[in-house]
Amino acid sequence: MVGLYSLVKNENMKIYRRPRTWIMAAFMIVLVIVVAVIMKQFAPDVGDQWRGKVQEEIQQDHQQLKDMANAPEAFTAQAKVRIQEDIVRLQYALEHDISPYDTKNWDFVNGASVNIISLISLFAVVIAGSLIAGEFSWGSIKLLLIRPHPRWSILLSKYLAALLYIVGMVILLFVFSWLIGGLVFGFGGLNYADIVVDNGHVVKETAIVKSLQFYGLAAVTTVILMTIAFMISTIFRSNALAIGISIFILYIANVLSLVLSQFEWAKYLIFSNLDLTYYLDHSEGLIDGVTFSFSLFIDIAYWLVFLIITWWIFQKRDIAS
Amino acid sequence: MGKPVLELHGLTKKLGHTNVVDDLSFSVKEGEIFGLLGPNGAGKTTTIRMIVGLISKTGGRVSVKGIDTHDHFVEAMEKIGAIVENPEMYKFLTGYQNLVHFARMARKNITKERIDEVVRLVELEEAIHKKVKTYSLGMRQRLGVAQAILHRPALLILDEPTNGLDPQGIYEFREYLRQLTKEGTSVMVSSHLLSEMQLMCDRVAIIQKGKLIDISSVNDLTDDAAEQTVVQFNVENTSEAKKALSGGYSEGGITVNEGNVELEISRDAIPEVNKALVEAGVRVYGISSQKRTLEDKFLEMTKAGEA
Repeated sequence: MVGLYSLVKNENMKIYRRPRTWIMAAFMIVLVIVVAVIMKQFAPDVGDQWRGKVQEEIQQDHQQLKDMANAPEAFTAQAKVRIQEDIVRLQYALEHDISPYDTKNWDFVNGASVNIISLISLFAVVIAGSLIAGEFSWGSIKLLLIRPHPRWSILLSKYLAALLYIVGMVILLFVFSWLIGGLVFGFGGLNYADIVVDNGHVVKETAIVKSLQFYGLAAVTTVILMTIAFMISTIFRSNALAIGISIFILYIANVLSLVLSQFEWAKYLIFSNLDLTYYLDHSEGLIDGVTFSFSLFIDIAYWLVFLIITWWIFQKRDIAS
Repeated sequence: MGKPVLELHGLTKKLGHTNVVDDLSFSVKEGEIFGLLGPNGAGKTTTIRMIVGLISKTGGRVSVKGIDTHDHFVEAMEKIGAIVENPEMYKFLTGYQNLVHFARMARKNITKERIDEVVRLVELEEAIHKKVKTYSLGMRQRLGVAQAILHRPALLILDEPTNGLDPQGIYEFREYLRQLTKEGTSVMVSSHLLSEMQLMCDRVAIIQKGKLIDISSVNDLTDDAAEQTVVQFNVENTSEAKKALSGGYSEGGITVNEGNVELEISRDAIPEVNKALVEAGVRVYGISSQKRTLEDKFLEMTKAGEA
């Protein structure tokens, strides 16, 4: 264990002594600031007039329901439910004297910053790819593998360093979104909650719980993408290929899962199960019978297969270049 | 000198249908500098890579201080320091950070004092806190030596260590090695530069096409009194000299070459030949013997191996 600890320390040194690591982190923070400022510009500032605005919205909702009355039931059923739930939500706000337009930092954390998390996937893929491929292209792999450490522990130390990087970046994003959101929109307390209507009942969703769930589930996707980059850079010893393929999967996954959702077998593909945050608002995936636990199971299975392939290739490889 | 530090038994590497390294066996003794000599492509680097576990063996065994490198890789590697081809360090780190990196990978505690000591030994004090990308090739080579000796290995393996070094650097490098062996380290170096090996090594193994052709100590190779060498006598009158020597010294024949007569004789015979010339009234201006170098030996041996 002491040996592994030193190895991870070394890998961390090789990550954080490179300027690009810090440039990527700085880029992410700047992006958070820019998004917060832009959102503030477009946020409706109703102040004390919010009651009038809520009533206006309720009237609009009623009007919409009336307009739909003549349309075929099949098309409007879902929309009607949604509008009715919106009315319940707005009336709850009036009764309990809570402005629904009051934006706090938690709304920012849950709203905009969660989209920035895919940027961490991108960075993690770059970092993980070069942890392995870099050693090969620099030639330093020869000095690394002639030390009194079994190969698997050197591989493991690199993987752990990549995991730590993801954890660090996710925490960084969370903390800075909360902080910058607070400075721009004002700070909400730990009990700050969203009013959500579920099956006609008003439910308070504590913002901190929701954001932690979201960050946690999004991190799973990031870890799997990083593991793919890790595997590809081990197989091909090429950072470019590792980054290319992982990024391709990152951006094609959603589209591909949508296109393939008509096929039953597509539910076993990694693409269809990569985005777990989908289940925060949906009880079922795009394909019938696909649930959160099913997706999680498929993800873990792929993850294990990727790790085993990586380990096997790395263990067997002749370092001959 | 005594116990073997490194032992190879029937080491073989097969790539496709050819044996790149073919049934190689030798041992390196304590405190000696052992050379692995052979033309490019002879299998030197492949041999070294198998010893340090970078590539798998097709057959045979390697042990370091009696520890099998396959069965007990970690324990065996603790005793080895190596540079395989060029020492490629992390260019974005400073020399010192590189050393800290490799010090952490040793299974024993390497103190800051030890790192400083090694830095002094390879004379990198001035540049050690600069990034490696600013280093010259010679400085990188020295940093490479530093990372290899940090943990005081029993065996230091250096693959083509003088590649890219200038003559001054090569001279200094030899001095480091001598110093290290005084501290009890055994060194194995590979090279295709023969004269280099002659100056550096105690014993040299000559390999060709993956096979061991000969192991000899460098002194044996060059200072063999009984061995025949070509001796040139610079004389006033070559035909007179030739006549004077025709009675018995001319086994290998006498050749005349621009005021010189050349004979192939043993070292012991030089004074006798000179005496015969003087007694016959031939004026001798100079005597020179061409010392047989390792290179001659090497070429002779590898030619024999090809035949």
